[in-house]
Amino acid sequence: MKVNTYDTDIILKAFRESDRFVIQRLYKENYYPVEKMVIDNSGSKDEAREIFQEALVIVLHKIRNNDLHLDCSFQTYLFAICKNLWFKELWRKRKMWMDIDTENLASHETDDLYEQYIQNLKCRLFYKHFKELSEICQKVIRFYLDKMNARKIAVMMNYQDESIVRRKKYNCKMALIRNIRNDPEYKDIEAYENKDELRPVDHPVSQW
Amino acid sequence: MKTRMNYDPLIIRYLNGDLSAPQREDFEARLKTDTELNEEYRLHTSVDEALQMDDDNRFRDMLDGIHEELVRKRQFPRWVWYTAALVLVCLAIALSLIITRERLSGTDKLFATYYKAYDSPGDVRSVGDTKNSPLAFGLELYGENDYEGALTQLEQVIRVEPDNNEAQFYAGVSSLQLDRFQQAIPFFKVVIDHQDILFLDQARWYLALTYVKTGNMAQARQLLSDLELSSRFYGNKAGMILKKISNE
Repeated sequence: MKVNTYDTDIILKAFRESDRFVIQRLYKENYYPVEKMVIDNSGSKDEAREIFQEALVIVLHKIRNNDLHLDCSFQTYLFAICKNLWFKELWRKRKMWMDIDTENLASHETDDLYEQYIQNLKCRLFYKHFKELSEICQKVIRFYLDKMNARKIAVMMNYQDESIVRRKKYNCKMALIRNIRNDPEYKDIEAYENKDELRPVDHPVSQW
Repeated sequence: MKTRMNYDPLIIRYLNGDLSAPQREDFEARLKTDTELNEEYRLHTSVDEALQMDDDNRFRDMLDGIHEELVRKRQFPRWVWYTAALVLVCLAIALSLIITRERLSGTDKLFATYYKAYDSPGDVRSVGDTKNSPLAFGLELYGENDYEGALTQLEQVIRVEPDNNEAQFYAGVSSLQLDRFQQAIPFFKVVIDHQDILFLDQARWYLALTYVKTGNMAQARQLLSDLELSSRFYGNKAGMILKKISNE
């Protein structure tokens, strides 16, 4: 099946159903222009990947909440999100100011999206560190989050008693929190969230 | 420098529900007044919340998978692998063909240059009535370029008279005419073993050419050297072949 990326209905359905085939096509057709835009504007491939993927997560949330209203093609919209998010990121990370695209994305919408992006970035970071834990740690934390009691976890994981589970959970959670705290990216996000004066809201000084 | 308090054990115990009721109340009261505790507590809860967003995390995993695949394909698209494999196979085939051809072309060329079927004995009536003598009949067929027929007849003679050097020799040349090089070798060897002066040089010459053709150069060299020294008729030609072989 040839996916017509201009057919919004197919795209919306694909996001709702996590249709890998369609999303893969979308990814393939839209990622490289975004990567080029980021690299052309002082970014790296990793940053392009992060921006693009989190833009897709934002789109996913909007679709889930029936909050996606397109006045242009999906591709144009997605590119505008990525561009504006990256230009905001440039300010946060490098104190460079770039004029955002207001033609395809209203200025206030960009601000909202960026706040959402920052929250998503934290979730992405937390999840990344969670996946870097050992398999046992991931299981123990997952069971706790699923409200499974220590006795049941001990049985499932073949531990002698609940105290081992509690100790394990404590150590795993501590490792996770420690790794997150030590991540420079987390420190940057925290600094951004705690210092409003860093935000380019009114009259930013152009660095260009 | 401000020392950071380690609130983690307390927060984890609180989140696990391991605190007593008074301890819980105390903790909740401190959350409202202690900014640092509050910040640490928010980190713990937001981590837990993030990990519980299964749909988002699954979606991120899918995107990561797609990205890895995309980058891998872009670095080494499938057609590059196929083309590289095809080129390698073609190169290997071409190389082996060239090597084989080069090896064969040298010996083939020499053989073609110097090989000529030995003349027919001509009037074979001297060997007897061709109808009653298989040898005469064989030689007659040889003279008529019927090498298959000649070989059959001569082999019949050899079965009865293994010492018949004429039959052995013409059987050998008939085999060469039929491109049966390996088959020709024993016929010539028998003649050489018998040291029959009538066919000795001829047998050495044709056997040497057979070795050249089959790539058995050491044995060809030996025979050609003997011929160069001893044969008036084949000596020069043997010397020329030897020179060409050593140049290669």
